Amino acid sequence: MKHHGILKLLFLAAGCAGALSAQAEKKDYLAEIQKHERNRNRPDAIAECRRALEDKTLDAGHHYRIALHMASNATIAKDYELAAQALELAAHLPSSNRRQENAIRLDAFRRSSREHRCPVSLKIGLSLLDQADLLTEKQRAEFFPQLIWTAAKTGSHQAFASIAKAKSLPEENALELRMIRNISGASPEKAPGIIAANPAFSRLAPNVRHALLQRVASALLLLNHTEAAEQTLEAARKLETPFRRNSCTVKAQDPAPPGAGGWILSDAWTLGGSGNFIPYDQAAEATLAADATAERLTGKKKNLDFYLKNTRFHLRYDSEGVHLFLVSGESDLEKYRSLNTGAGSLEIFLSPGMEREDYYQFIINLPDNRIDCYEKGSFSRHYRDIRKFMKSETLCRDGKMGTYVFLPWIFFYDVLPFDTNSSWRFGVIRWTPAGGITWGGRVHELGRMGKLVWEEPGPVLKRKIREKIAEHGIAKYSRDKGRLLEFWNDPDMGDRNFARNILAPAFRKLDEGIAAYRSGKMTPEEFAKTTLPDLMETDLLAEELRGSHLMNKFTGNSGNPSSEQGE
Amino acid sequence: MKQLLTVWALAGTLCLLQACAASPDSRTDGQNSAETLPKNSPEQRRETRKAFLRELKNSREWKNRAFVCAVVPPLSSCRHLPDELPPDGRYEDRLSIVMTPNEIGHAAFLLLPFRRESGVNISVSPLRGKSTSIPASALDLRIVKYWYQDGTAWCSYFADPLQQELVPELLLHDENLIRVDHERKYNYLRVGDSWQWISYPEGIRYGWFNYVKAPVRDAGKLAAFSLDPEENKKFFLTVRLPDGTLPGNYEGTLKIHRAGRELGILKVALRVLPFELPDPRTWYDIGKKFYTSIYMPPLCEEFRMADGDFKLVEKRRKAMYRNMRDHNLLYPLVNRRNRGDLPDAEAEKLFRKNLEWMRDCGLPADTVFGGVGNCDWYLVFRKPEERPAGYEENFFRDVDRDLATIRSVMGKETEVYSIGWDEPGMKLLVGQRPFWRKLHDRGMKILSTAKDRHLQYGAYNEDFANYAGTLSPESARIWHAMGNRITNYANPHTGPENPDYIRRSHGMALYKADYDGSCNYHFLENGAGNVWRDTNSGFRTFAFVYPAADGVLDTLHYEGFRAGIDDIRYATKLRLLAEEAIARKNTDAYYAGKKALRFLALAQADRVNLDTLRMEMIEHILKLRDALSGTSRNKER
Repeated sequence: MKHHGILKLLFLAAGCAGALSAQAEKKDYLAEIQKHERNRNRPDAIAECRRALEDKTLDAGHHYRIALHMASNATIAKDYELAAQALELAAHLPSSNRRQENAIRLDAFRRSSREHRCPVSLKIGLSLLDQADLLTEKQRAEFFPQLIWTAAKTGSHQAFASIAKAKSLPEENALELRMIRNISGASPEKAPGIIAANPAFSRLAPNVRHALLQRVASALLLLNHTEAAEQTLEAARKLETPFRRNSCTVKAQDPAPPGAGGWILSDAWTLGGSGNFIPYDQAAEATLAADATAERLTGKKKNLDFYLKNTRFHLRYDSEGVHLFLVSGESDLEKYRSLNTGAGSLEIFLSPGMEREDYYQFIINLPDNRIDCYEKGSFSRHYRDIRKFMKSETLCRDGKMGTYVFLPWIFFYDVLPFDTNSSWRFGVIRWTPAGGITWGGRVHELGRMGKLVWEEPGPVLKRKIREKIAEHGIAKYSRDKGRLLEFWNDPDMGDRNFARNILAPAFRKLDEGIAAYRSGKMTPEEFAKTTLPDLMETDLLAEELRGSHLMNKFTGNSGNPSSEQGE
Repeated sequence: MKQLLTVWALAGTLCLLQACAASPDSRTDGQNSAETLPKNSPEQRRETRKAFLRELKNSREWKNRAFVCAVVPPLSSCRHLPDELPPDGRYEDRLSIVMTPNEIGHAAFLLLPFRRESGVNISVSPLRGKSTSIPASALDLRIVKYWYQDGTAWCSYFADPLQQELVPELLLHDENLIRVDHERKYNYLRVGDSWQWISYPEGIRYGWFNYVKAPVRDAGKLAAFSLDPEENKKFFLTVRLPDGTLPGNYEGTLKIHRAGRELGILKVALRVLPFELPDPRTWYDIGKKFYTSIYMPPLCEEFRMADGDFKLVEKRRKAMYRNMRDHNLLYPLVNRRNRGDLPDAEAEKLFRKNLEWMRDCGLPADTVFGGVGNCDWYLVFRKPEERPAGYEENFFRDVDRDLATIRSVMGKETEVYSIGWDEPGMKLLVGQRPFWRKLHDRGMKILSTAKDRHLQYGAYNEDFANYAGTLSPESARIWHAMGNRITNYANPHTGPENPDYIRRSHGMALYKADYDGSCNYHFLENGAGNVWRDTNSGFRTFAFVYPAADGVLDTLHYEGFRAGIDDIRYATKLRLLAEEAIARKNTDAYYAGKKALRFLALAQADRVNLDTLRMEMIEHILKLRDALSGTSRNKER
């Protein structure tokens, strides 16, 4: 009996030693895995996990922990299939607390979804359904819509059924699933009726309804129910606050104050103007960092109210052109004035029409009035170099900066508002030390820009505008014509054939137009339509004629075939 | 035929009388083209077109005709909207093309239909010269597809999803690949047998469009199309000459027909010039190469979209690289090996194969931009003691491996530029110094997005600076003073459809501003995942091309890019001949060389008519050739 007791003790000791040794090994596995994780060495960590999972001497608890390590490492290594397998393994192993497992599952689901690995993402997401009640409310609010979207992206109706059965499915997402099912099962035109007839939907707050409809529309589009998606989106649009475009009536004032000084001395310095600026969307402002082509002052929106209250502009036109005067209050003006920089800028967008027209963009830096122009097209008959026409100055006084911009009618000669009968798109963004404020949306957002409505000029002013443009055109043409004829007639440098037979007749035609206009045989309106464009663009006209002349010469259309003939 | 030509001539006259054709010919014909120039609202322009066609149709000569044709500059800055008369159109029946044997030529025209027709097609004849001909297969006709894009379309790469503008963009053989709903301003893409809505608003979440596997297919040649009296139809003709085509004049026809019935004929006049174009070189130094590069779509993603099918990826990439070569885009940034995204062996295979595909498709192997990592965030922002053991060694082991792969495929002498951190702040620029040094130690060079501030903190270690936005000849001069090179992006990024804008800004304007090339962003990318949907997180889809199952679909502005680089090739040819002529001891040759250089120096690249510039360059080149071939009678000096 005594020996028996000793043997028992020996067995016990051996068992303990064995257990301790196994424990040591288990620790080795974990230590090794964690070392690789610290070194960001995912492949080796995964290999170590595999080795550990094949070790039958480890108990289920250890296998469970190792499986979670494997899932986590595979997720970071973007091997989502492996992560899904490891999580599947973990799900079948006993554990008293599955919070960490769920956290890894959710992470793998999020990451795989973000990387567009939809099939595996769906698999991981569905595996979380049974445990979804362990997620926080916030996590569920993110998880279920994402899972529904993933099911739609993969076209898995079976997944929809599984999600619908989930115990912890929020009512809003259950409603979303019902709507997807009902709308996709009916003809598209019935979609609005299905939406309206749902009492649970009507009880939701408008913003929740809007988001839900957008999600339903997304799922319908992914399931290739395009028309139903369009109908659903129409219903969503009805919940949106209609966009209200800023508007400004541009009045005639002949003459408008000349230069910044003139405006500062007028009532406009202290009164009136368009001032309904709003803060620039902060998220959109942050994305402007990606615009490597322009530098803008962005801020943290402190003291923005001051800038909102102290920024406005006036727009007038006279017989010469369009006058813009911007008043920009600045509490730290003296500091910026002494440096002649740092007070931000005025970013201006202008398009002479509400659609189908190119647009202009320029930034006036404050207070030094340095101007950066950003062309949005190539210079041509219909898109001109604004730098050559614009005049601008900024003056500081009374804690304010007054910026004057003048654009002459000769710049807009072919899109005069009273010819096109069209409003113009216009936007001003002031980049202040506290951030951006805008009258007309975000940068380049033509669709949200303000609308300039042009007051019709009286007949006297209209005639005066036309006459001034015409006189400019005639003077410019006379100068250009002489230079062009002289060059092309030059015996050494020019091409007399071109000068005599092509250029001179074209100019004679224009001369006749001018004579008819001068003698009153042609009205200013007719002249503006028939002759003016070529007077304003004589260089381009000559280039067009020259290009055509050479093309004809090279292709044998000028009566002088080339020396080679397909030989 | 003669009668038909008379009708065409009559059409020209009528059009000139009543329309807005601002054509040079119309002026010389004694018609005042600007007489009824529609400078009014879109509605008025629409009405002008309708009135013009109505009046023509009611005339005796035009009563039974199907359409009137307007020839337009193929890369015009005018949008040529379908419901307006083309402001720069010439109403005639003759397309003219002048090209060299190693260039791709182009022309464009619009059909303005009088009545509705379906099942219309165009047959191309061979082009006949005096003793030889060019086969019809050398000519490729495509329809310029108009569709709705974001509000800033034609002008900018910034997004404006609040408005939709109708713009010409895609060049398609089958116009029905895209369906356009003008009432709602929606586009639909034909994917296999179904239509996918690709104009959905921002609130819709679509995710990625798997363009590698999606069955989006254009026809192999011009498919039957329809004519609608409410809309002009625009066509884009490209000519690829077979090897050995002789210089000279050739003529052929385009026959427009329906069900065997002829609806009209256009003449094609082609002049093949007696010289070839060299590769482009820089304006500031005729000995230096002008590089054409671009950021590329992620290879690993395409591989994943293909479900790991190497053959599918190979087919697509090869089609893409051949297409790039044809568009003068010779040095695309090489995709890096995707460690961590793919198993190592697969990543290595894909990396090597991609280099082989580039080489096999004729892209030059003398220089490789990209392909090798240059540093990573962890290396720059973590002190050595905070990094995992061996991290840096592993990084450079990978660099050596990638460099060895590149050199084994492209050649031992290949110059390899590693690409620095994109648009680095100054801290990041300084942080890269030790790693760039190690790359220079290995005989590599550095290309980095840069700006003038880099001159304060870097530059000495940046061999190629890629500047964003507006061109700056002053900056170019500073970089050149160090023997470094400078290229440009975002002026604009890809996206704006105006082909003249792209042709100019990535062609002659860049060249004359003393830059060393174009390295724009991006060949095809949409951060939101669907390249067919225009909005892309604040930007529009960056695209020179759109994806098809078997390659890519060209765009009008991509043709603009090709022409822009061809302009530089013509300028290079002119300069090479001028230098040669100047070196001759012959006053005529000397003067011809100086005159040609004077012309090029005075050309205002930001505003000159680029088609005329091209013609003038050809005129000078031909004169220089004459002078050099000894036709000049001047005595030697």
